[in-house]
Amino acid sequence: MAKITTLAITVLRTFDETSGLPLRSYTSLDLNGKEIQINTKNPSVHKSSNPLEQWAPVFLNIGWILQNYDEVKDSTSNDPKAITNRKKGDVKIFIKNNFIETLDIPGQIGIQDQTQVVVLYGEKTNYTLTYSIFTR
Amino acid sequence: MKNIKKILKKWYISYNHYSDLFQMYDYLAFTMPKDQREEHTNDNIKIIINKDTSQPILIEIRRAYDTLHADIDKLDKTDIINLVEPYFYKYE
Repeated sequence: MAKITTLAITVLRTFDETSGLPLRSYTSLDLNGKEIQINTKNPSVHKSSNPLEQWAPVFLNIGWILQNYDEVKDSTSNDPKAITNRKKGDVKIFIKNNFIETLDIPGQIGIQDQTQVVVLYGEKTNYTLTYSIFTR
Repeated sequence: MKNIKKILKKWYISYNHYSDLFQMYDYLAFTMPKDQREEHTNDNIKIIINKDTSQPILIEIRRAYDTLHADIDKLDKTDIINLVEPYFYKYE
């Protein structure tokens, strides 16, 4: 009997649908169909990160990027923390162009941007995820 | 470019050790229309200037660990400002 598999598709949620929603962790699928936990930024740790990253429309659509990326590449960072973490499991950088424009966030229209989503995953490592958003 | 340290003290800092991308910026950097910005790019470093005021609003450094020779996550804001300040004087 043929094995039937189902694939959860994450749909892009609009600004109006997500604006004001509380930031809570959620699961999505990576490019291998593996479940990934998407965690909120911890204000006590990420003291000065991009204000856009704290917006509900951005955070709640990170899962969409993982399934609709423009490019995915391995981390080649020589930062000591990145090297240590790479030993625990793969680190992939998912890139989506013009993500903020796609979300149609008021006040951000017309800004060219690129979004990098970084995922760390391994058999013995908890899934973690960080992301950065910047203009180009 | 005067009082650069004073300006940088008010900026946000963003660093991701996986992508090794460092950014320091005024929030205006993400809301200012493109025609009001002037970009200077050299190797791994990009600086964006506000055309109206001639003041910088963002510095972005790719491969930050190799460029700055420092682990950004272990530095405080004063140390980071001292580290990036010299890059602004190249665009005076």
